[in-house]
Amino acid sequence: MYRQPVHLGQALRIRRQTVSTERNQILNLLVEPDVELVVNGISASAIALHTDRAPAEVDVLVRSNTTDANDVDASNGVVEVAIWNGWTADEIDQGWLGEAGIRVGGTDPLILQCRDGFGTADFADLVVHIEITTPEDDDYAENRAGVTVAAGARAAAGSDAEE
Amino acid sequence: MTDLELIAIFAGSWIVAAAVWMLLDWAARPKHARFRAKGDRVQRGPLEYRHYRKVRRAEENEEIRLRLTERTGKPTLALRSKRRERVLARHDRPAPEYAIGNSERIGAAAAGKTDEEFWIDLRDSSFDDANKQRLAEGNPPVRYNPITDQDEEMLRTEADTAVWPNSPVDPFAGTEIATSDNTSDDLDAGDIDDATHDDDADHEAVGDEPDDPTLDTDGGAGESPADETDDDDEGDQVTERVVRDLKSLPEAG
Repeated sequence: MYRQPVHLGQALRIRRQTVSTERNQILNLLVEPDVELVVNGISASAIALHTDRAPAEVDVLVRSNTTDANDVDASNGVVEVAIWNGWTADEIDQGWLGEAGIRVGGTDPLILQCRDGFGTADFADLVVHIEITTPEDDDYAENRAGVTVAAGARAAAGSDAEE
Repeated sequence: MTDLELIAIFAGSWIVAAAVWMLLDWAARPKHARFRAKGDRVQRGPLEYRHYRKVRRAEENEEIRLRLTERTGKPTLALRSKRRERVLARHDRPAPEYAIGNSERIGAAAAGKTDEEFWIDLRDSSFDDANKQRLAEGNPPVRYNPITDQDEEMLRTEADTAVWPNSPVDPFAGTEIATSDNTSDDLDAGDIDDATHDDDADHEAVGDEPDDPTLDTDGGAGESPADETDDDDEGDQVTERVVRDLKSLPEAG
């Protein structure tokens, strides 16, 4: 498991490079309970990106989910995002088993080479590049204020813009 | 010595003695102690004081939690104070089915199969010998969770599937990508992350896979010329960028 420090309000741009063709690979992210990850209109403290479902490039926003007016320091805090790999075997999402592991390299972008414990230890079952960005998109500005934009509403706004 | 001097020495001795007594009493008294009436004084040791502080902080947190619930109108689940001047509140929100912390059994057992039979029948390609032995005995497998620093057992769901507790949420559940990234360069706009195109992702992916008849279940009837919007150009640009990234990659390992 790897822990990446991130400022609240920043986003992790996760770009998938190589994926094993033998089984579905999973990239899991976790933050502490008073922080949440926002992606695809879903906000949660822990998310799992499956290679057979998630796009090749995903932006994950890290923000605080506290609404207490007294907590004025949370927006400037640094939190740790725990990252670990998983896989799907026999229709079960697995992780933290066998000889699975992550090889960490690079700084910008961060390169994670993951192994699911099957076959040779080439750590090429899942390779991702992770960049830390500061999103300036309007949607993320809303999210920074604590408003979660529903995926359906955003899709409707997008289709209206197309028309 | 005159009488006055004697009286001064006598009174001065008593004043000094009283000052020394007060100094010693102040030094011996714990810092958190405060004045209590004689009838309210309770003899406590260090452990009792620690417990008392914990109880008092929990009562204060509960009071603040109720006040927040009343003020915001939303049920406040938990309150945590890292420092006395900093209070963090967490309000209720719908929890995903397998959110972190939800370690209870989800749903009732499916009819027709006992728990032992379920675990015995479970395929076990990822498990080590110890867990395979547990499965053979009809027990759920166990793994160590480094997040909680505890061992955890697998759960059986109402849908008769096996899941680990504390499983993260899948924000893309229900979506499918037609092709795998490293086997095909023909990535489509629907394969690229864009929340505004979520509704079109599956549709475009199915329509643009003529080589795989199993995916084109409706014969492409859902796609019409009217579906080709201006987003195709943007999709091509994004496709180009992703393909370029894939091709410029060094060999892994």
